[in-house]
Amino acid sequence: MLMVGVPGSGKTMLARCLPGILPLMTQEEAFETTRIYSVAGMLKAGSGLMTQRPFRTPHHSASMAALIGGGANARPGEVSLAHNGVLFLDEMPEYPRTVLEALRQPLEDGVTTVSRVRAHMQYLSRCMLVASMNPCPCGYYGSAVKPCRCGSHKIRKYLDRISGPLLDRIDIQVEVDAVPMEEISTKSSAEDSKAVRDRVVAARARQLRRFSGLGIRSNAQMDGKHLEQLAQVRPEAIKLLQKAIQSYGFSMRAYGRLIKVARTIADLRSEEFIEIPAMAEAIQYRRIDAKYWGDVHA
Amino acid sequence: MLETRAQLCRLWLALCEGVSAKARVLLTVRFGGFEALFDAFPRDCANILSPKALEELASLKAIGLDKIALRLEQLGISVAFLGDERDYPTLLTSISDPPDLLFYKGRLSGQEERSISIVGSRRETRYGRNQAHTIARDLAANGIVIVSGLARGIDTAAHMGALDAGGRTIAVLGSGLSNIYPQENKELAERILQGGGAIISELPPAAEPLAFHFPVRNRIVSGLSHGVLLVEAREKSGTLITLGHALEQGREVFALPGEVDAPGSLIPHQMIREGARLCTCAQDILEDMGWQTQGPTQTEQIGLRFIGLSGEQGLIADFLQDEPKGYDDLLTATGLSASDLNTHITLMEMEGILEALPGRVFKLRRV
Repeated sequence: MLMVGVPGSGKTMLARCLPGILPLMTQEEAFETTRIYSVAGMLKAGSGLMTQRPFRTPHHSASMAALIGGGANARPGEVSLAHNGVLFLDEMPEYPRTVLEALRQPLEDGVTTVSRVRAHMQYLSRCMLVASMNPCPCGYYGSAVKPCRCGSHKIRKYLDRISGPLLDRIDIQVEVDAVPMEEISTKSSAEDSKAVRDRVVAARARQLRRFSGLGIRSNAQMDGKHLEQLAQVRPEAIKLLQKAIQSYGFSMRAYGRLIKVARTIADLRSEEFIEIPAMAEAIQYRRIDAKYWGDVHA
Repeated sequence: MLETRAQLCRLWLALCEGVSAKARVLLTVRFGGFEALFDAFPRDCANILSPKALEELASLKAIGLDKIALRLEQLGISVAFLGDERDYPTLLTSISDPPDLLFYKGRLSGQEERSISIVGSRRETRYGRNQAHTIARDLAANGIVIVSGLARGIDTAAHMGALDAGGRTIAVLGSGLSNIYPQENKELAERILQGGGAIISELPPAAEPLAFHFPVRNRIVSGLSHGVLLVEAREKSGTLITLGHALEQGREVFALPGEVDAPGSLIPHQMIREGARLCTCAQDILEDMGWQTQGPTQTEQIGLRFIGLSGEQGLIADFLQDEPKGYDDLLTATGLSASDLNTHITLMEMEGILEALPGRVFKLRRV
């Protein structure tokens, strides 16, 4: 997930709320994560099995070895420490490009291979990548509150720090609006974390039922065959998707990923089939690139 | 076009950046022509030329005229001499200080072509960029040549607009043709050539993009056109220099209005107050120039296209009629559920009916 918004719009706060809406780890997941922490020597004395999903926030000065894994003993990196949890990259363009690019493979495969002279290790690294960024160097491109001081060239250079292939792997790209003062102080009617979490838990349960006996646990892990057999997409929604691919030039990778996101949206709404609204929402989540920077690129 | 030995000698002199226009005139008067100068060089030149220029010209002379011509040909660069009616642009001959020769790639014509220069800020806004693009596109669709400077921002948008209409566009550089600046516009330059346009410069091919080249270059931008359209400029911008040249050269000046409190509107609005023509679309320019329209122009008003839209989408289009609105406003005004609104927005965006702007703001598109 990538959150784009002006400074102070609450991107970091939202990310920190995320663990609160995620379901507890299953026993299997807990074993996996605990094992990684044990290898890293990060298990606190006296604590047994980890039940909370990890939430890792490496600073943007973190080295490649710290993030991906490495060192003389091929220790697990942040991406593995976040296994079954969240890896949060605040201000993503500030991270060195090489480090960001190196994240692609672990995120795609869910496994990181660290090869060193004395050790050759594979660590699980199936985590949710959550990143935040400003829309431009000054932070106010597209803001109604403050004018942006950046020319298109500057904005493009800023965006270029995140490569197209990496962006293509981010399924949910959302804009975060600045929250007006009065809404911060008054209690709004929005759902609280508890209610959201209940829905997430229900959606996860649906997925577990769907995939029972298949060796996978969530929509994200579906491969091509699963998509065809289990995604349950209405023909109208497929048509919409095909049209979107045509008009927006989405990649083939995006095709499968859009269906997975739409499936998850449908699960959250307890819908059996992926209907047009779920698909439309999934498509909206991939449009941020064009929206902010489409004509800057042109 | 490069043919005679006299022209080769003239080219030889032009290849040295250190020779000013004044020095060129003095030298040719003293020797009675470029050929005589070339043959006599470096005799009697020392009090007119700097030591550096003398050295450069000497090494160029040592290379030999034929080799120089061959080298240019290899680079794909042609030369248009002032006075050559075949490829030296007629419009440019009417200014007070036309370049003695132009280096160019692509196609130049001595015949007068209807042309408009579009100039503006390098730190443009989305609005300026879109408008420059649209107006250039619509003008080009009417057979108008679009002239600009290949700079970032408005210049780029203008060239792109012309290319999108399959039109001809000319880029005047402030550097040599082998030194395209800014780097990222190399591809654009290539597209301009493929589209039957030209990139030109009065500087020798290897010249660097130095700051003082650009104001001088700007006289060619305005000189090549019948009128200059200004899209966004802040105080102290090079665009003002182009406008100064345009007025001096008797070119029509157009200015695109913007929001009153936007920094880029300052100069255009000032120009309009001082008598520049207000321009909101290609049609305005075509009319004011007395040019008949051949292709489509954009006179349609926003919204006219959308009368036929169905219930809920019609509601959304109606609400966006006057100005772009935010997502929350749309939600309240239409009374739709978030998921329905999302669906409609996605569909309408795909149809090209509306455009999503940063900050979750939506805008009806003028097509």
